[in-house]
Amino acid sequence: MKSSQYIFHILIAYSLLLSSVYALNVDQEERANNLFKETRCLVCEGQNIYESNSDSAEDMKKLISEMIIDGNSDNEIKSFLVSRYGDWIIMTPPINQSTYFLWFSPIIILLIGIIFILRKFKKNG
Amino acid sequence: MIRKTLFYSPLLIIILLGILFYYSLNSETKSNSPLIGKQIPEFSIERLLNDNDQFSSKDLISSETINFINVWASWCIPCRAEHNVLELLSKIDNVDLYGINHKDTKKNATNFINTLGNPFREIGFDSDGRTSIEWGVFGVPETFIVHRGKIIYKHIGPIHISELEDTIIPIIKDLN
Amino acid sequence: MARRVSELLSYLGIVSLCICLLVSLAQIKIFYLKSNVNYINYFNLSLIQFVSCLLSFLILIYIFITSDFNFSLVYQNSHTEKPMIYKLSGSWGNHEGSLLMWILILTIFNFMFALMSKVNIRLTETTVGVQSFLILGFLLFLLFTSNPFSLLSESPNEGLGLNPILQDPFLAIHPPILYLGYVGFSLIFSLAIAGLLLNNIDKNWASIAKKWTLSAWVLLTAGIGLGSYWAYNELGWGGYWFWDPVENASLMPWLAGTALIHCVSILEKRNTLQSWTVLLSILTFALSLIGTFLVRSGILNSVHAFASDPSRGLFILAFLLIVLIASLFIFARKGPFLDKEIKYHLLSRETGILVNNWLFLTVLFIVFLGTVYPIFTDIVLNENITVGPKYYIFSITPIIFLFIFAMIITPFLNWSTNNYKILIQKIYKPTLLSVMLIFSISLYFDKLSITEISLLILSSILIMANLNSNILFKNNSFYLTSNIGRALTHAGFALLIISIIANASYAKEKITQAKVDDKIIVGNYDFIFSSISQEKEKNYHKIIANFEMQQHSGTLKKLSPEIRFYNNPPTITSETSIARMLFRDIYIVMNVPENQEFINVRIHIKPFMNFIWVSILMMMIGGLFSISYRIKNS
Repeated sequence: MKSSQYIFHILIAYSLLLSSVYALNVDQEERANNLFKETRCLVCEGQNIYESNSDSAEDMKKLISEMIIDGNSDNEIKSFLVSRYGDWIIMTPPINQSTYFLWFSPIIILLIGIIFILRKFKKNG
Repeated sequence: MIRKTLFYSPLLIIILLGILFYYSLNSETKSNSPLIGKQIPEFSIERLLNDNDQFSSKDLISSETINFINVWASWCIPCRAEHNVLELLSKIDNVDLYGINHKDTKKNATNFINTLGNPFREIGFDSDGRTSIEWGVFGVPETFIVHRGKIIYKHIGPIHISELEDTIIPIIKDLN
Repeated sequence: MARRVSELLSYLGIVSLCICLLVSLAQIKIFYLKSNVNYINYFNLSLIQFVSCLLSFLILIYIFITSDFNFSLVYQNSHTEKPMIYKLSGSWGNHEGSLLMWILILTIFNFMFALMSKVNIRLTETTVGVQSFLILGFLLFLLFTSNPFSLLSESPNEGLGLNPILQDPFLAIHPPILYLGYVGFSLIFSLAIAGLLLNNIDKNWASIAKKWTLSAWVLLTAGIGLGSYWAYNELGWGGYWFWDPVENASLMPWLAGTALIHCVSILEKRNTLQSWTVLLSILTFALSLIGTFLVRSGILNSVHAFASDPSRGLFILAFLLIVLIASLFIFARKGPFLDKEIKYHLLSRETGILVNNWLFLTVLFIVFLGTVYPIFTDIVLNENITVGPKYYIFSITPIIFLFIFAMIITPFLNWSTNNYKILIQKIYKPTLLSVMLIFSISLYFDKLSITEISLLILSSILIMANLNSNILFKNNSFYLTSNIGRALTHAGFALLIISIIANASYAKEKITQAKVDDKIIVGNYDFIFSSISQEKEKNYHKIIANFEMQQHSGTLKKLSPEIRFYNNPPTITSETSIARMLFRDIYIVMNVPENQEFINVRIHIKPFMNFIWVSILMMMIGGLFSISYRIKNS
């Protein structure tokens, strides 16, 4: 008895998770899916909203779909999200002062290796 | 000599990493919302308790008092725990507390207010959560301090009585 | 009565752990005694360590199988209605149990090593001593912060259950295998420290180390593969690798370990690169420890998040720093005097391996940086950022080019000479064939970018060069050479790259809503939603949607994704239904909204999925071949 009641409750909760029908055409749908994959879910652990079925992710998907229908470009949508939640919400970090090291240090590491290996030849003539 | 020193570099790196990890263990979730210091986002939503007109950003911009905007929902258990603190907060001089009711039903939200009391001057009814996204809300409860239309501070999660005394009240004093 | 039994078991479990602790203390005598060599002594002690840990682990399994809810751990992680396999796997599906399993595996490796390495007794004894120091640290951690045998004051009737998402046969065996890999590298670490302490890093050291490194590598590869397979089947997003911090935590030791295998080969053949080999050995285990810390302290957000607790985090961090600072300090003091310089030739095999080693390290650096950088910006710059898959793909792809290029060339170069005649002879045919093959394929499929085409060509050359009859066959008869392991592993890696590219380029997906009798078209397939039904199982009940997959109006397969409603703990999960065909997987997941006549469906067509699993398998089998070749010839 008790467990079936519980199931009923979670079913109701789950009904909130349904994604509503977005009237997107094929191109818009592809753009939406790409944006969903680039938008981090607010409440889940490290997932993007494309992967998440949570209530909050569904709201965000709805918002993005509506912004696409209203004629916003991908960049406009992203910068809206960033203005509200910070860089955190975009799955790929921007290139700016605080991420130069992240983006460019692998090249330096690669170069250090080349110098090291070349020195091995020099030393041995 | 240089070669020998080079052998100490892994040691140095691990020590630096250790320091970083130590601080990250002790760091609390900070709320560095990009909205802090900015003008409040524009919004306009129905009122929960009367149907006459809309609760909007203009109400906050025109206000001379210190405004607190609390985002809550009747289904949110921490919000219940926070309610007493909000009652205290609303009684402070020169403070107006506003509520944004997040993804709720009118019936449940009204019940909540009728049972626990209403510390809010106005409550906006944000059934689809859109206004909350405008405010950069992650989940309920969250509280913003707004002064002359500018967002001064954001608190994530329920406000504990100690946080009211240690953090919030000094900010109020500062603004006065 | 039952209560008394539980108390006894709890007591017994803790006492046997304490015995292990005391014996481990005795084992690390090498740090305070100048011992005279005594084989029996440390061998017997390592046996006691192993047996006492095993006993306590068996008790843990027993209390889970019998659902003894007097134990807080069983109460929190089990339930009587759970199928037996998940009661069993529940015993290591939590922090305390998995930690005990870690320790058990540490003692297994310790014992095995003591058993099998009887040549250089001084080295073996010291290695066992270092390993026992690790065992000691983990035991203290277990006993002081995470006692698995703590009792509840009152016995509840029923447990809280195991998270249903963890109730999967692959996830049941995934942790043990992954730990075997991690912990296997702990032995290499101990071996390296022992070698450093004894100034004994040479060809012989390398030939001992190579076997164990290969074993740990095969296990870690299997562990990562299983984890990925689980995520693909269970998480329901159609992906198999998410660049999630927990996944990265297992990938990092794998990268370092793979570099180590190659580096040990140079040491074995040319007796050089001593300090670099030692550093890689330390690094590989350091990354296992750092991974454990990142996963269990909860400072990273992850889909695989373990129950986390800051005090545990602090303990792991302290232990990690003690172990690493001490070992890196020894390294800094002794390292500079280890190296024997040799003459390098530009086109020799050791140069090729050295270049590849550095490429491995660069990839490792990228993965590490991506995982840790958000912590850095949060703490130091007070900014929050997210480092998602695009960063990794963008940064790693260019290195993969160089990487495969070096992999093609190196095996055909000779040790310590500048001979490239064989190289040209061996690779000109595969190169011509691959270029023609991939170009004709890319004319047929138009979606490929230049990057993808060139990567495909390189991978294809790599496969062909490795399957070149001269490597596998000699005198027209198949026989076991040391090359076959390498050929399989390298070809497996190339196949993996090809599969990943094909999978990413030709995947199709559709998210939509469907009513019964609806037809959904994805790619060349039609999916008819034929019916929906309900069933009750032992510990959950489920809603099943039945789909018929058709092509040219003929039914090919039936797919039935499920929604499961678990009671204990109450959770809803979506079960995917996957039709596995040779060249593609068809993958369906659904949601059921209440009071609606439709369901939400997500359909993926994922090409080459089977090849991804096969390629990982190939790499493992290649590793096994190399191990068996070494055992046979030692």
